Amino acid sequence: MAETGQRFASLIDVPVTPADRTPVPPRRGEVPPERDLLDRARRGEPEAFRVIFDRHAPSVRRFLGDLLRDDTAADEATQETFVRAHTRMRTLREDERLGGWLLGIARMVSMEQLRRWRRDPLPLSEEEPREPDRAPSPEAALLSGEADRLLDGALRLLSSERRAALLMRIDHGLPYEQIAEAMGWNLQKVKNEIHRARLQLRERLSGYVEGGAS
Amino acid sequence: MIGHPTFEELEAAALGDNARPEVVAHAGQCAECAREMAWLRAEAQLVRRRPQPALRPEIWLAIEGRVHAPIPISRARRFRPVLAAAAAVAAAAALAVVVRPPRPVTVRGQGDAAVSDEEAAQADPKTRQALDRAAGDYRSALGVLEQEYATARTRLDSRTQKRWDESFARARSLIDASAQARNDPEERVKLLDGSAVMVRSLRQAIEDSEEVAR
Ligand SMILES: [Zn+2]
Repeated sequence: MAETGQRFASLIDVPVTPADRTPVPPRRGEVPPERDLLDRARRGEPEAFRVIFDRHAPSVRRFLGDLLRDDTAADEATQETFVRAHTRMRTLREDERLGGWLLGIARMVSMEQLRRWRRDPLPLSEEEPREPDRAPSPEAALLSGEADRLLDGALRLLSSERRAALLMRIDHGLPYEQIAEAMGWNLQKVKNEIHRARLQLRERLSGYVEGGAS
Repeated sequence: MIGHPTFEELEAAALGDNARPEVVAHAGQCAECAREMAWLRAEAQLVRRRPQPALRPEIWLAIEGRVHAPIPISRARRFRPVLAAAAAVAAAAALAVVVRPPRPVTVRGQGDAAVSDEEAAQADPKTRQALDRAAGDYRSALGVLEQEYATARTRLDSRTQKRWDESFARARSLIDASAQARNDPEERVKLLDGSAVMVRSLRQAIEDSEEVAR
């Protein structure tokens, strides 16, 4: 057992780089610097809205790319998300965080697009991800492009709702409460869905990240 | 620490939200928690290290156009031409999807035997024709929208005029650039995609203004 602990210890020491495109959630009691920005944007200051766009568009675009898996569609959905955000700015509650709120709008926009595609489907490549041929050590696996490819395949297999919730958590660093708000789910459902998403991901990656163990 | 930390404590430590020292210390000695934390870290690392998609400048231009510049256009006048533009844009978009050339595998070190994307696509006059046609459709769609804009332009303030002029110029320059990149179909598709975003957003802005005028 001690050996297993050792084996994973090196992975635990590797710092997970926080995605710097996502603003760090402010600590309790601290006035979020976004509040002032938001007030200015609501008063119709174009510069303030531009700052909000600059700050959040990269993560909104990334999220939409993951949900829609099409660059042109993700560009247009990003545009639509911010246009809607601009018109709905007044509906944002005082205690709501901008990042989660924007991802919530983005998710609605992406669902509408996915519905349109279902009615009028485009030919999409549905390449089934290959299983790994061998199981390298966890460290090597993390460095290999094969793990990236497997991850991409695993994400693609998740339902878009489950994928959205999982990525809000681990890619965009939103707390569970904000995800519940953005998805319109209760907290328990958020936890269940993310848990199931993780199990699905691990099943796909297990040959890699665990060195074939378990 | 007596007993295992909760999943949420492990997750917070793994994702770097709130790495409590006693949780990290526990995981250093407990194989089970070490394994869970290794997974959580590995997932986050894999997900977060994926490349960040580019944010096209057209996205902001389009948002700005839609958010700040409603053009008052009477319903009767705009109805037919804008619909025509919409149809042309849809046709061109569909075409761009269909003709997007598949990327042939280029093996390094094969020397003369290697076939580049460019040569492969150059050899296909159908691809070129389809791209020419798509560019033509975008150009005519843009022309229709420019006519609409020209009649409303004098009623706009100079700042709004400038913004719209820039958007039209940008869309036009993308179409022109795609015509000049005749020998590089990948590049042409990319430029046409960019102009599609612009043309569609200009159309959207005119439709938005219609909503406002109603
Ligand atoms: Zn433990």
